[in-house]
Amino acid sequence: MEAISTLFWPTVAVLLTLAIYTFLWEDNPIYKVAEHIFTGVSVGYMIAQSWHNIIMPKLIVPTTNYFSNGRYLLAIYFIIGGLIGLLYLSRFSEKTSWLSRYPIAITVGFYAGFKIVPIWMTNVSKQLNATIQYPNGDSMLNLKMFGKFFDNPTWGNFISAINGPIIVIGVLLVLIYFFFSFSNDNIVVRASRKPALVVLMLGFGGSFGYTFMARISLFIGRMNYIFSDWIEILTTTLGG
Amino acid sequence: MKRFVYILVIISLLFSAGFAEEAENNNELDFTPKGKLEIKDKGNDDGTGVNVFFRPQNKPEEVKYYLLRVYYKSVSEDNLAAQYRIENKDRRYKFNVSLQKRRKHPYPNSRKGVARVYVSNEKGEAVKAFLTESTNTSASWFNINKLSAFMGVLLFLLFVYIFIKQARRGVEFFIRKIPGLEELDNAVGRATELGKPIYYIPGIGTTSRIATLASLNILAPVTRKVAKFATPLKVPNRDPVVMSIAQDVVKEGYMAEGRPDLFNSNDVFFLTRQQFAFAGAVSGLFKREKPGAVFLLGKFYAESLIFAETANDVGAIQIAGTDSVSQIPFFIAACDYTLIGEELFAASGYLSGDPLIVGTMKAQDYLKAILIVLLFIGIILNIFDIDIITKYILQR
Amino acid sequence: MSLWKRRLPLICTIVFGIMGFILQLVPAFKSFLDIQNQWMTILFGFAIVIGVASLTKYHFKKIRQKPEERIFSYITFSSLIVMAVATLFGMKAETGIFNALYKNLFDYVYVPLDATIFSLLAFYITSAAFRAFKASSWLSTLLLFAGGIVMLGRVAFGPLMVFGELTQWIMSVPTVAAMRGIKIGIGLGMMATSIKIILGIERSFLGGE
Repeated sequence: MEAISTLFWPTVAVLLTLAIYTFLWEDNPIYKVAEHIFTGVSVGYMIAQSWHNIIMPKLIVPTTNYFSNGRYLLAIYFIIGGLIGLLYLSRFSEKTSWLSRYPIAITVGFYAGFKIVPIWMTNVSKQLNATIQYPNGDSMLNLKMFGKFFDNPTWGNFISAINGPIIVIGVLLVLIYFFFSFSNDNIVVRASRKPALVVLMLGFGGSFGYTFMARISLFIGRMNYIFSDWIEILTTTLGG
Repeated sequence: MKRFVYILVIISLLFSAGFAEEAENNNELDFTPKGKLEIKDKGNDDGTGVNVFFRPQNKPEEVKYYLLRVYYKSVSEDNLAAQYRIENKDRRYKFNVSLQKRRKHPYPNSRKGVARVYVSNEKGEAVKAFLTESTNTSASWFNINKLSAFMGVLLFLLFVYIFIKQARRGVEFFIRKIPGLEELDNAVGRATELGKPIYYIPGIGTTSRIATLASLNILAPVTRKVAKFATPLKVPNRDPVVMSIAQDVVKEGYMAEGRPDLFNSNDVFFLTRQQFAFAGAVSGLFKREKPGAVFLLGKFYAESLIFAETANDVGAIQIAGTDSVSQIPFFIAACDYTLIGEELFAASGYLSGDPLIVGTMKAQDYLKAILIVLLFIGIILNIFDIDIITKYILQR
Repeated sequence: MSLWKRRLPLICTIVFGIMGFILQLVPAFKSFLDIQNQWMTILFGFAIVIGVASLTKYHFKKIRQKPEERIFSYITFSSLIVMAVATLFGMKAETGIFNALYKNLFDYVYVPLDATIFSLLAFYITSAAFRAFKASSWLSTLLLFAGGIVMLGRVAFGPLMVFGELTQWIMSVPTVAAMRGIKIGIGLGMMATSIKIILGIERSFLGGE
């Protein structure tokens, strides 16, 4: 009896794994069962998570704490938040569904405003900064590097001298490529088009190739589970 | 001269204070604990950060361990913000301390930090306090490190104002062709011809992702195009809030084309919040319903390729676009048309042709042009070791 | 009516948008920001209910339209209920039947399914690469060319180490340049979208009358 119980759940995992892989051949009822189990389980998990991770620790616990600490304003603010959140339920009826626009409007507005500064810092300012100078403060167009190359003209020195300028030119090309309001006949836009695409495709290719092995290893990981972990459980429980 | 005298007075006072304290405990230690302790307001924060510097001046043989305690408000067990055990390695130590860390109270009601150094034993216990320094901190009203973002926004608003004013006067702006969006009509048309549904996936992000909002903005003109052909449009969602918005957007799109009868709230539905459960369920739908066109616009993570490949498998035209730079390569490799990067954010203006939105696109271009100029200036100045741009304008 | 249905929500967007922007710039408001962040998550707390309602409605309709496939809807709901109950009562519990059920469902159903669907990417990335290879466009050929070098370079050894060096160059020069250029553009695009939303220029998310 105990053998069955130790073997049961890992076998379920193996069967579900195989069920998913049948999808690669074509859609079939076995995959469909696994897919619907996963949908159900994940939504069920999410319901409980909302309770354990949002409603309890973010709403009920702080609100009661604020009340007992005498911080009534904060407690009321949290209750208002809960009430606004409840407005989502107005969507159950056609007539009242417009009430759900309030939580939506607040969420969309807040995050739109909240994200502007971090987006600017990480996507714009930081990236431009890194195109001007290396992290150690050296210039991307480092004349010293060129000097080093002219003193000692090796291949390695040449590469390290031109890498910085190539990055700068690449970034500029890509930036120009995405201008919207210049005509394609514009001489700068036209001249930069093809080189920009070369930079983009080399870059995307690099990123693609870099991820390739990581994805392959995911499959190897699943196979390991079946052929090493599960087989071991199987032989030990059946053998012993 | 005056200042010199003051310093002398302060130093002598400090020394005498040190000796006085030492005299009390003289019987416990056979050496004089010495060191230099500084506590400074970190600045540019909400007034809870202090930097504490400590330089031991005893030899490691004399004092092996010190203990640094930082309190807020005053020295008391309840007010302890942080403590560090310092092994004497004869160098200067620096600590970044948040005066808020261990406080139960969420609001800072004290703007004072106190640092105290103890001689410590092997067990890490405080044996004897010998230095105490304190500082008052202040909350700042502007984070100077984020000045460039503020300036950028102001500049952008200025351009938006200028171009929207022009747009209102009737000036028409040129917008270059975006190939992925040009194909939108064809994709919708082909799905209609084949009598197959159209799937629109607004990504797997929540509304806190700007890419999701951009995608919902594109959904509006897409629905209007679809409404003209009366082709079924399905929008599976990973987030209930995004689903609510998508329902409203689709409904509004059908209404605008005078086809409210086509709207069915069941066509804009929620599946699950789990990333790969969603991917699995959507690819199952693709295989079963064989859509003629699939739009993958919004925030995508690793599952991007699952959508793109199954859609390709059933022969759908795929138009994709995301702001996740690591997923763009997969979309380019697998999809028929890809909106690269910022094209996703420009799409709503491009499709709707709303002069106000087109005006903001123009403003965005001008801001970008200014940044390119700044980039040039920065690079040239940096060659001559002038770091004014990198330090103050385009901060790291 | 338009005031309550359109104008006031729009005002909420503007007010909270400006609030979010200011909270980022003013360090003195940090403690309020912590509260506000918590407050924002509360709004999401109940949204799940409409998600579940939508899923239920979807399946009820399906059961009516395709009764022969109703078994899959039953599977969805039974696994939903079992998991919800097990997690609600078992996640925070240390022992007991619910905890055991929750743990087993999580470890042997949720996690393997998640990992397996993720691992499908091993096949999809291969077929995508293959398709890009067959495509005649010089762009996709270039993409795959760079991709191929990096794939080889990541596993290169011995005489193939030249691929390793090339990989390093591709990853540290063209990839950096391309990604950086795109990131800057995306940053500006996102900023523009945010501002359009806060200014009320883009308001399709608020629906119609």
